[in-house]
Amino acid sequence: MEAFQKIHPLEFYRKFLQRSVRPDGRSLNDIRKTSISTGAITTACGSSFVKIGNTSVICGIRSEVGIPSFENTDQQTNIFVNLELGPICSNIYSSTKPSEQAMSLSSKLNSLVKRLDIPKEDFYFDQEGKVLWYLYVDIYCLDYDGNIMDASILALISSLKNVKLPRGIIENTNEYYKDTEQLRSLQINHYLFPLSFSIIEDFILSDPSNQEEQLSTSNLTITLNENFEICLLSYSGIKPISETILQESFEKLKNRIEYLKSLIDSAQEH
Amino acid sequence: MRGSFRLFYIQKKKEQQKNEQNENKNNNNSIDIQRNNRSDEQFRQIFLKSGIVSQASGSCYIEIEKTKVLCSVHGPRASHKTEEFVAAKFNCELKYTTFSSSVDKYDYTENNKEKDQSLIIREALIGSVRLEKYPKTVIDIYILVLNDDGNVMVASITAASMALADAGVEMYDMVASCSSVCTKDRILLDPSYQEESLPNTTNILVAKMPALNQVTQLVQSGDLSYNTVIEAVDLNIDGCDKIYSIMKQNLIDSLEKQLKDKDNNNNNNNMDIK
Amino acid sequence: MTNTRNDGRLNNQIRAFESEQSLLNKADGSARFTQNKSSVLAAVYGPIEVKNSRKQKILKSLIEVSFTPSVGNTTYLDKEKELLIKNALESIILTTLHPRTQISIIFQVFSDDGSIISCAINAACLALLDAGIEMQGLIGSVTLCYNHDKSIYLDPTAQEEKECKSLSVIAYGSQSSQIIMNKTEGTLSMDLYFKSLPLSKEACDKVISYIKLAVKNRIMGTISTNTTSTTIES
Repeated sequence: MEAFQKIHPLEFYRKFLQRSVRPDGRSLNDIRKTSISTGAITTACGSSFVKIGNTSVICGIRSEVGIPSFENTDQQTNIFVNLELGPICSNIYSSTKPSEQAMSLSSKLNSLVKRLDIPKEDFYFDQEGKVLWYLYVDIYCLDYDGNIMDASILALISSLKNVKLPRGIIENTNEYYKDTEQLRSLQINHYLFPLSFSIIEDFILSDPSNQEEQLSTSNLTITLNENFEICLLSYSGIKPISETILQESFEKLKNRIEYLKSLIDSAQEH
Repeated sequence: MRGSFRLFYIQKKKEQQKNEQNENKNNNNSIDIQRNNRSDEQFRQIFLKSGIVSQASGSCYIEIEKTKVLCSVHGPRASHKTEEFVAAKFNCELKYTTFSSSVDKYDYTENNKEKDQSLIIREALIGSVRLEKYPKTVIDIYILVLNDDGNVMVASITAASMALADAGVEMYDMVASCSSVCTKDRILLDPSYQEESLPNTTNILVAKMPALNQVTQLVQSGDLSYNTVIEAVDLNIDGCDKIYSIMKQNLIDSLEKQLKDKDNNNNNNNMDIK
Repeated sequence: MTNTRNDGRLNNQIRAFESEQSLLNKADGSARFTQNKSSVLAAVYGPIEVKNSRKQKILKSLIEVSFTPSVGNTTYLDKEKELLIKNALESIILTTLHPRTQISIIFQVFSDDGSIISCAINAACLALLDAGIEMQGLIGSVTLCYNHDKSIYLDPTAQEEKECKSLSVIAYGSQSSQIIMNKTEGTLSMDLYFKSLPLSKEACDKVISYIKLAVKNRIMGTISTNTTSTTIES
């Protein structure tokens, strides 16, 4: 059977999918076991570790202090997200240059951060906001078994909720001190709930594994916030998608939101 | 965009002020560092787990208290280049995550340290692997330092050796390693980040294959008297044996677990969302 | 529908299309697609030999897209655009006809005044037709922006893109009424999203009929085609 899987992977999958089951025992709508933990990295000011089945990502946030330039202040962001898909997580990635996939995902994550509506005052180092905190969010994939998007979005939100910024003290106008005994966290007004799908022929698979992603003709990722508003919807692939399938996918995510919310919240309690 | 200034911890400033007062009282220059809950020759707790990266041939995760390192091995696999090899090509790459150390500014250009350390790890391991068994292939080792609280090299070499064993690569023996920081009158085994960054200290790293009783790597950085070197190396070699026993036990455990998993191949980890 | 936008257009009015085909000598096919101040040049080379043999696909041809902005170097934002355009075009090109080959599509932005991804996809469609690459059908793309007062602007300018609440790039094919590519970002209620789909479909049909007209003109001998701006009734 293993040989058959290697030589004719698509035919192998088709045999399973026609019976509404996947080779790993899941049904088409099943999602792998998801777990989130926070605060494992002591050197970062916020961190989280997310595992969806075998896929695991670690996310750490580094804080820097900077003086903002006063040109186009409304356009400025204080959070920069970067996703790293290195050779450590899978042999399909090389260490020399970042993959296109990682860059595209980073750009999506950067746009999603803006959806969290974190008030500007939260980044103030001093009282007036002349000096600001800048947060660098780096997400490293440790094990790539598909659905990296969901894992990184969950890692992003839970690590941002884990951020503890020290109180800033300015003495003699250009001596900057941080007081690690007085910590505060960011005020995050929204949640992000992601769910990805792969479409293999006419079957829609929730939470695809690595092999499923490779066999798929199209990929769909949706992200909603707690008010069921779309934060990100990305569909691309060889085959077109109908409106009804989109609607069904939204329903599937809606049913999962409560569970994800409790997962994100309970990860903060430790 | 960024002004030129430096950021300090207020706690450090207070400490500094206190130190200055002390120094005025007695001008004693000896570096004093207190270990809270362990003696100079005591290791921190080590946690090892192999086979955790599903996409790699072999992998290992190691925690030495706060120091956290992940290693995965790809290979032996076909080389992309058409060069002819008598033996397998052996690559090693160490990387620090941007948040692994608590410095205020991460310098993206500075990776000399990573390159140097990769080389040391490669040299420590290459003697143990039977490369001639895998002609025309490549064995790649990738190491990611998630959290640096000292003793990264020992963690990396241990993890890499375990990952190689997990990948089923033929080896003469696993490589165990141990490092210490020598101050003027003390030898601190398994140093923390704070101890490593003390001024005027010497770092000694020993890697060896305990079953063959052969040393594969010995690195000393800094000056030290002959007698202290011998003493420190002896101490480190003993430390290697201790780490080796942990590695061996872990390897046996993971093998037993693999066999057990094969027997009852159920996965009921899945969640139904309906 | 009476309130007008900054440039005097109605909410559901698309800027006038302009296009020019076969303007490059070296390329197998090329086209420029312009909507007022947004203008993109697409060049198609192919099917040619695969340059990087490791990327070669045994059963189909490889599509390579490179997107160069009007100013500055390519950043990760451009990489994302490349991937979106690539995925959209892969679905209409009959890649299985030329296995072990490569089709390169190169974009150069002349000026960016919003809806640039849509512009690029439309330009690519014209350039592919010009190059004579076999396709399943035509592709038309349009950008929508959703404002805070729940109104929808079709074909937004850069200014409108910046001020809006959320932005959606959508592409439809001529052969079915299904979505080929979609990227929506920003906060947007699901009702509004699904309500806007017929509108975008209608707009894409307009784009496709324009492409048909442009190709017709090209065959008749005129390489450039202009239209006035169109209003979409949904």
